[in-house]
Amino acid sequence: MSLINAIVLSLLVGSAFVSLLQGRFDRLANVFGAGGCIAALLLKLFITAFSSDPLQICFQLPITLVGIAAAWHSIGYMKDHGTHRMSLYWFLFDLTIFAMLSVTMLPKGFTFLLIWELMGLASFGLVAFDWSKDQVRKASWVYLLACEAGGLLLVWVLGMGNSFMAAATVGTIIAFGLKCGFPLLHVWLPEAHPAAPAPVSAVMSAAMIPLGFYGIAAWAPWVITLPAVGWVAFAAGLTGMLGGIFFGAGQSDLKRLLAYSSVENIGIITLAFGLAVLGKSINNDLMMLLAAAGGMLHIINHALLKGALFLCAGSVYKSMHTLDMDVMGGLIRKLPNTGLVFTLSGMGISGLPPFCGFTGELLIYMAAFQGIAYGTGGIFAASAAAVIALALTGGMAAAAFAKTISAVFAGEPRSEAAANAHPVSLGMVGAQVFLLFFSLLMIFGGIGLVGKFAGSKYNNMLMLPLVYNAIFALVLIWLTIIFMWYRKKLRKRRADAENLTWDCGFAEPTARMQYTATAFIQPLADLFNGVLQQKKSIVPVHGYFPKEAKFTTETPDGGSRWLWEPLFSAASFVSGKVKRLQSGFLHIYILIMIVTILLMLAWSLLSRPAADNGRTGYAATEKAVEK
Amino acid sequence: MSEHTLNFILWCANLIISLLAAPLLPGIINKVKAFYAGRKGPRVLQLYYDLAKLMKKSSVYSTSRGLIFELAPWGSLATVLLMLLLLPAACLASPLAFPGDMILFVYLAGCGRMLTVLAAMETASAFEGMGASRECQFSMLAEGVMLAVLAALVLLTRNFTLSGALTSLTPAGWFSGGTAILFLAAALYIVMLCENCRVPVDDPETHLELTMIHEAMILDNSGPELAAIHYSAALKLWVFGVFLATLLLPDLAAGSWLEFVIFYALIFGMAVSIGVIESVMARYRFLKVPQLLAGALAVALLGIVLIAIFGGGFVK
Repeated sequence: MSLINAIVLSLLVGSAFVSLLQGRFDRLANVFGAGGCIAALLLKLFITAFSSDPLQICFQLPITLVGIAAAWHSIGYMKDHGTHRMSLYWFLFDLTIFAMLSVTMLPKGFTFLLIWELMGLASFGLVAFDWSKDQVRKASWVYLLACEAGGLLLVWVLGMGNSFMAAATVGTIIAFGLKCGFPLLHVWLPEAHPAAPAPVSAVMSAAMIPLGFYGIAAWAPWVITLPAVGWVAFAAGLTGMLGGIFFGAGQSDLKRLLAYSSVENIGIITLAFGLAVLGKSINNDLMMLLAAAGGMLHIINHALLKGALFLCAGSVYKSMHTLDMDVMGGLIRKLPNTGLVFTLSGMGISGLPPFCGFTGELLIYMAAFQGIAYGTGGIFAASAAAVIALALTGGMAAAAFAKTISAVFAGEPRSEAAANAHPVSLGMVGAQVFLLFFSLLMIFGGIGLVGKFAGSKYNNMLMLPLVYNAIFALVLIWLTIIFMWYRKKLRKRRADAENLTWDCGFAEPTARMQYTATAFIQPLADLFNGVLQQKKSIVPVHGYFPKEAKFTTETPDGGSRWLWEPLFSAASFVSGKVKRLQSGFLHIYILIMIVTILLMLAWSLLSRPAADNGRTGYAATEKAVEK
Repeated sequence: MSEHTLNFILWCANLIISLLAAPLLPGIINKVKAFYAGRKGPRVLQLYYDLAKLMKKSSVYSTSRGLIFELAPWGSLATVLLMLLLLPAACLASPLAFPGDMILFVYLAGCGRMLTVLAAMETASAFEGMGASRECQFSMLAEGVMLAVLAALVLLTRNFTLSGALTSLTPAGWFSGGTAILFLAAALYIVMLCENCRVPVDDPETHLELTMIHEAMILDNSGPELAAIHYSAALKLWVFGVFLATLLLPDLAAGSWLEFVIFYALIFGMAVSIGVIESVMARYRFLKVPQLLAGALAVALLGIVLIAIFGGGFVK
């Protein structure tokens, strides 16, 4: 097994450097970069499928599957990109995949830290790949800050060794929480994802973010025994999932919305792990196992669905060159397969049956029900809150994705660009269908994974719901197919017709009659405006024959608006004041040096041991020994 | 014949009755409304005639439609059918019950709704967009109330199957803990009104599209598709009727005929009560509906508190 892992990893590094050597030959770089990556990951997929360690499966499966699809998709996505830098792209891409895979095989330690840094830097390179754009430079800067802050914290944690357990726990959770996108630490996600190339967003959102959970498990494995951590995870998960989807629903940038949806799903997973810890603290093993298995399952499901969604967003971008949903519409006619994958994956990520997104949430709900039935006091209240919050999150996610799917693909095109969108290459569609296929497979694959996870005693309780759910999913699909088949049979005997939509004068249809993405979500956004605080600009209707009326909304991120921006502007204010010292006059600098030396002198005098009226510390010790 | 087999046969018989009798409910509601208005009103069986007529017609499809439009009516009919399969008949548990099926029940409703919403958005119609947008808003809140009711049931019975949680109430338990049950039923009743698009959330009768939710979403459906939509709406009403009736009905003795009589009386009674409500009050303004649902959530939470204080010890 370790031999094959070594082959896989060296293949990835090798293809990274070989593709870098291709210089301006994009085609050769594609062959080596994508070929090496896909070959290595297929090999890895083969051994992961037979692995018995559920932890490895749940972190490595997303990397392999989404990695393969993203590499495949990249070839089409990065074509006609202009600048002949494919060699650099594949170098960074393969190194990122290499670092991600290596991290999942490493224990806590210096090597882990090194590879973790490599992962951050290589993916920073990918996020900043289109650096000529202003927005990309800003986003990649934010991402680099988040990566390096996490890295610094990890150095600190490693330096502390085994002393200061509490500080190490807090440091580890914050450092990896920055990668996961815990609430308030999530601000880099909605910036970096719209900026990065779509396949890169797919890999980062689907496979890299959850590695934060692996990091916590590897660096602070004792968190499972600390109820306090359970409470923190519960609170973070609850705010993450509700906040993530509320802010996400208000966005009109397609990839920014998907990034917020990742924050929401990471919130659900965090909530699950919190419930697992709380379940353990009341010795309810079933609750712990249900929650942990649900969280693990959701990591894989989210990866496959979100990977497919980001790749589809990439195809949409490729065919329209914009990500603004309010100017899209009707793309289903130009990109039918992309539309199908996006619709099914979007329903899946909203947690709707028969798709796999539901299976993980089902187990998490059941864990919370265990807490309601057998928990007391705080754990009972937390479980009840979790159930209601999960329901609200599910409803909001359904609304957000109904908005997204219909704004992008349904109805009539809202702009020239949408009307003239051109189809994308077959390879890009293939990569999307590949992920959709595996996400459909996960409806059944989850059963086996949970079986590996549960051990023997609770096997039944964990697997039974998933088995029944899979049966119901199949029945649902087949019932629909049978109904449709019957409908088709009816059609043979009569003349169905096509006509314009009935809409009190749709006969002169202009796209402006449709509901836009912003309009669709506005009732919900208004309902929760206490949290969202949307910025609205209105040009109201004037007079009997109004000429122009306008309404636009913007939903800036809560975390950066109320925490980070004030914090950073305070820091820049303070450093602006301090900057006055840098006057350029030599005598001022000499004065500063003298003052500094005097202050240090004073400090060293004051900090000497005060015992024995000014005698030296050495002499005082001597006296103590004499006594 | 063992008791088990008999129960299975009875449950299946009830399933067939449900499928056949569901279109009666809208007929009853309309008859009650006609009675209040002093009209004769349409026949109780009117929906059957409508369905038969629509099945014979051909459809007109919008040229703006996409992938979902033709699939949605049938897909959402399938989700309602599966919801029915998860429910008990009177006090007989469903043979398909499994731990966690109550969540599948709620999410199946969500799946059907998503299909309807997507199909409505595909027509590019402003009216249908309006209806879809409102449906998403209200159903999100209704889903929260629904899960709160289920959480209370789990707390009450410590049973994780929908059938088990709904059928394990004893007559003695009714007298000691009926208050909490009534709270849950009240919350569920409001959810039922919302999910089935009845007054005061939505008005199925009006012909002003601006004030509709569900009817606005299906403006462009016709022929067999419209029949499927009408039938699944009636069946969904029946599903919620079963939920309410089994929640209220204590287990007298498994399979006794009296139980079934009360069970059906409760379902049809619910239809009558909807008719009365629609006759005596008007639809709320849309801004007021979230307050109604928040009120329902508060009622459900009160039910949870009541059960938590007085314990869940009054079930078999």
